Amino acid sequence: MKRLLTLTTLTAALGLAGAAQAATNTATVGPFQVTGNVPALCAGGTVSNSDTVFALGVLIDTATGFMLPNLSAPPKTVTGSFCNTRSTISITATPLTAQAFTGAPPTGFTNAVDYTATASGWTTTAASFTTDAASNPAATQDRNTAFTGDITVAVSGFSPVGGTALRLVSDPNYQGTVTVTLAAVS
Amino acid sequence: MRIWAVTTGLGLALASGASAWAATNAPANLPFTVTGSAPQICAVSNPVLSSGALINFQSLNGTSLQIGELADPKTLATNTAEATVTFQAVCNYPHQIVLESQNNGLYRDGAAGATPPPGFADGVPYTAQLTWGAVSSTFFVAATTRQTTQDRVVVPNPTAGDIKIQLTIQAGASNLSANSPLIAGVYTDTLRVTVEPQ
Repeated sequence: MKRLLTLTTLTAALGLAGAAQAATNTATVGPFQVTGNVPALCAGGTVSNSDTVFALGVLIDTATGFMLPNLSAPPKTVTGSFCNTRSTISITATPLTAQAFTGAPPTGFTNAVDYTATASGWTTTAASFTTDAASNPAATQDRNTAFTGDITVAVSGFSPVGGTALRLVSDPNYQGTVTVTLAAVS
Repeated sequence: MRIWAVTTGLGLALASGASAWAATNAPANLPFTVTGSAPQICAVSNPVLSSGALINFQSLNGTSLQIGELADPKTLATNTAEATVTFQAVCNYPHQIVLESQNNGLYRDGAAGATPPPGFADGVPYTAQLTWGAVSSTFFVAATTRQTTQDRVVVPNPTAGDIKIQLTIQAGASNLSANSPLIAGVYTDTLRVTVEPQ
């Protein structure tokens, strides 16, 4: 313990000597720079009740086989989303497609349903994607400021692929996907 | 500097734990699923008399199709007759269509089990030609024995449109021999068309 104390004292002495600074009542060292960075980040948040399924139920009029004209599902709210810089919100969707049915649908039938998916609340204009559109220029929307807030995701405007004169083939599971993407813009 | 780095790392770790869609400088994706179902259904409307060949049949009355003159008034042998009826129908899954003759031919009402006098016939065979989508079938209702008889046709695909049934009675047809005279009476049969699961 005594030898160690001696050595520490010596080190302090050497330190003072290294600074070439005379012993005074006031000693200033530095300035030292303190730096950091905040990377551009986006977080998508969480979906209310962790429910990410738009369940439409039975798609057809069971008396005629034609698709019901009033299909709907409640919108989903995404909370806790943020981007700490400029950002884009994008949405894509795929048609509801019969999962068990195989092969081409017979004459008079279809095995898929088109619709429109929207994501609103993040940008002035909602991002929207229509599955049968040749192009979807509104699918990506820009936001020029950092933002945090809810995003509402909705589906609507269902129609049989190929036209309303077609009936849906029977299938217990028609399924499509909607993907919302938040991306930071550097 | 080192302390800042540690703090930043901790911040990211907490964010990852609190959110399923974590903060990241890569695009953050959130997938949703859209689901629905189309249950199996079959539907058949009431029959309509086709505008095609109508031989020795009167118009359709509800679901009853009346033969004009079943027997030749001179020979009492069966007259030829032909008619086509259609049913608008849909079945949105692979199914089968069943034609069922209640009597296995046109038989005299109220004479079940009774033997006609020698030389007379009391039953008339006929043919029901089915066309439904991509399938067709000939159901020969033979009038050999008075009993329920069926013709089942497998339809491998969902089908929508008209079920067409062409009913044909051949001249001279009977359950005894060709051109046998028919004993007097009202001759009937009930033909049921059913679409159902295979």
